[in-house]
Amino acid sequence: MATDASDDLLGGGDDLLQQSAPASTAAVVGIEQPFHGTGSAVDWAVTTTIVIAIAMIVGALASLGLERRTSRSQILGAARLLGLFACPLFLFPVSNFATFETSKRVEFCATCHSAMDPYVNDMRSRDSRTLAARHFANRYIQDNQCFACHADYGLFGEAKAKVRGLRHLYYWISGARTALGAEQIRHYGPYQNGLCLTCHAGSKRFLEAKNGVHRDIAQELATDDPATGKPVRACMQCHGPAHVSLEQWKLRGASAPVIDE
Amino acid sequence: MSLADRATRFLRNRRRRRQLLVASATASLVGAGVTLLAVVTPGPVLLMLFLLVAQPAMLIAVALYLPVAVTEFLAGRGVSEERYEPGDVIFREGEPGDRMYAVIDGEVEVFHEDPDGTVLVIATLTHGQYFGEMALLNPAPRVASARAVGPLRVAVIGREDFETLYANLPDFHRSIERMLWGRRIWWRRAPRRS
Repeated sequence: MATDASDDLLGGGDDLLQQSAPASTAAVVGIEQPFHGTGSAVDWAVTTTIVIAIAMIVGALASLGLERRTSRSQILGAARLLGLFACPLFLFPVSNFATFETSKRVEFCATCHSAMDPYVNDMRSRDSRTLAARHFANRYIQDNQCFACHADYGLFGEAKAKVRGLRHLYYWISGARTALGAEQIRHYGPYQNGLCLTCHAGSKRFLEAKNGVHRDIAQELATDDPATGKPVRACMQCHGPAHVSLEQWKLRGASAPVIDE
Repeated sequence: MSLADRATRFLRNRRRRRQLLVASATASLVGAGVTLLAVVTPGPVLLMLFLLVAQPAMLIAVALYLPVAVTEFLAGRGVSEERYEPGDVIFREGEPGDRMYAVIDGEVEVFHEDPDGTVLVIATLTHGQYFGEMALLNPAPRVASARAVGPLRVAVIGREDFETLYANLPDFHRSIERMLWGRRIWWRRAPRRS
């Protein structure tokens, strides 16, 4: 059983959770965001988007308002060029970058309050010993912690993750259910080892852990059971659970703790 | 009539161009507004609205603006044709003028509006008559406004072509001179109405 989160990522299943103290409001301490100097690219993109969107609104309003009220056609032409052409063309890629990158942040995931509160609050809790919380507390993943572990890697991984999210949103808004009446919003299949191995495989700590145990089970880690689609040996079997289960969350205290940003 | 001909005919109508610009401005406002909300208060619903509403709106704004801008740009260069609906103002007093017009079909009222709202109708022009040439001869703003009385079709001549014709065609030169002389008489005789 691991006692130091920063020292060992080996989990202990339910035992691990039982050790974690019930998360009271006072016990949940927010962890400062990583320092980005003068701001990350996303911060700049958000600011630029806001500025251009305001300029676009001013330009569009001016082109509507000045239509019959000015004799200065240059001003009207400039307003049209700004509000109806230059700003939209520039805003399109910048706002895409800003909104999509913002949507990878944990805060964005947490906006689906009822569904995500237990997972996000547990991850942010310093007392929690779940795998997600230890990754978060030790900043093994610096930003976008939900997205880093739940979006497939590769060329279309992020796009697939976003499409899944939008599909969930559609189901949530429309209340759509399957023909059998089951909830449509659910985890999209067995968690793949590849998502862990993208970062861990090849690292010194991974290769040398427990006298090279990962080398011994490498084949099992890399292979999926064709019948179930699950990994023959899932990382979570030894290192899980990744998140607190809803039942355990309720045991900790029915009300969701406040996140201290 | 081909699609290109229809589009050209559509874009020659100034009222239609204005409608396109209003639609473009509306799309631009919607696009900017939703985008602003989506980045200031990020959330899945606004992200979906951004994808389904704001992004198409931005593209629509540009798509509606571009043909109008190109048409108006080309109208200032070379000879083109424009159409106006009854009551459409072709140009306003005080605007800088970069083109003159020749009536192909319909009637044009040239007028001056006093600050107190009194309208001085200077002339009513019909087929074959020019207007708007004074701003090309003197680099000064328009001295009067012009509007279509009924459905109107005009040929539009840009400044460069006007100057070429004026410098090289004596007949054209003389006809403009005669017309300018006539305009002085119009100004004196013009009836005022409020």
